[in-house]
Amino acid sequence: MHELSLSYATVESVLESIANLDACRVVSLTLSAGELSGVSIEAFRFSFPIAAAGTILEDAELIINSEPVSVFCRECNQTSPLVSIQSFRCPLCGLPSGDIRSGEDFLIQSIEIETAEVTQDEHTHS
Amino acid sequence: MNTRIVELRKNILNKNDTLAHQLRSRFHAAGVTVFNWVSSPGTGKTELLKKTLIRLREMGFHSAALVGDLETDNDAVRLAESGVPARQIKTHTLCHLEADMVERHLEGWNLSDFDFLFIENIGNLVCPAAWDLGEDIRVVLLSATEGEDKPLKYPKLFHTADVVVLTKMDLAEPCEFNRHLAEQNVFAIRPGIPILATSAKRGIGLENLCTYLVSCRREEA
Ligand SMILES: Nc1nc2c(ncn2[C@@H]2O[C@H](COP(=O)(O)OP(=O)(O)OP(=O)(O)O)[C@@H](O)[C@H]2O)c(=O)[nH]1
Ligand SMILES: [Mg+2]
Ligand SMILES: [Zn+2]
Repeated sequence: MHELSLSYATVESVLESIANLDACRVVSLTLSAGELSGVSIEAFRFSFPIAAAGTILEDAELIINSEPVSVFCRECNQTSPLVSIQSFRCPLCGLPSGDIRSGEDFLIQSIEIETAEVTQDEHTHS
Repeated sequence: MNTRIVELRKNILNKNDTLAHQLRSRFHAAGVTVFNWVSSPGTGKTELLKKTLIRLREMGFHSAALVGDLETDNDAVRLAESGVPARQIKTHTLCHLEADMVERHLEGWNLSDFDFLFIENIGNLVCPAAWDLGEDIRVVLLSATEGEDKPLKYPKLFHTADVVVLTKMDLAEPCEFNRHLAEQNVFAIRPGIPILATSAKRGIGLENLCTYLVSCRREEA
């Protein structure tokens, strides 16, 4: 539902991060979509090319990992993934827990960039 | 050509999130506490909000209200009957409120005149979940007439609630509404969250609700 504006934000954020890296092309983009982030992966894939058009992200491959929701259980002193987002309980002992440790964010994990090679030759000739 | 991997681990905030964060700071600075009321269409948001505005006024607090609907300004007219400034946000096609709409409709109000700002969202249990309006407290309402299992059907929204308000409790009996089951379902999604039972028509639970709202007031900045 707001995936297009997220796509623009993603493109902007990547461009900003690599401004000083001499990238000529982004080969791939690895994202992580938390199950509670409210982001539809399908809708994001659909809208991303619109936001990336005309930028060096234009042909980037999108790798989107869905991140399950995990909660911390005080009793077990451990963080574990929920069995279902309809039940915020520790999967180990069954106690209720709303202490979410992952699954809420939409993150850019990493990107693969192609850099314009400054060749040895150029250096030696100059 | 060389390729290399750059680790970023960057959270992506869309425009709405950025604006909502700015609004939140503005609300903080003005010392106004903001509530975003979300529910299905017809749960009784306007009815209960109107009664709440009247009661808070009697208690000596100053409030303002914004209300979103696709069309008509009926709800703003109803809310204004409480004697509190109320403005309608018409979204025409959009199924939720966004931070920039809230910002635009604040124009001309001096926020520091208010203790509370209430935002009645558009009746919808899906989209408002993902749209931060800069509120302090998200109030999710559930009526006795719409069944106990809404929290399980719409976990993403209920997960974002800070408090759940049961409405139309005067109709619980004829609708065979099982309050205990509804509460269990809320707790399955949001363990330990406060749940308040009300009936706007009968004035039940209004006092508790207002006590809760007042307890959410932040220290004046
Ligand atoms: N019996 C009973 N009816 C109520 C109560 N509160 C609201 N209603 C009725 O429920 C209907 C919907 O109430 P509204 O307050 O307009 O509901 P809403 O959630 O604001 O609706 P939208 O803004 O359209 O999403 C109206 O006919 C109200 O009179 C209540 O406590 N008890
Ligand atoms: Mg209404
Ligand atoms: Zn446990």
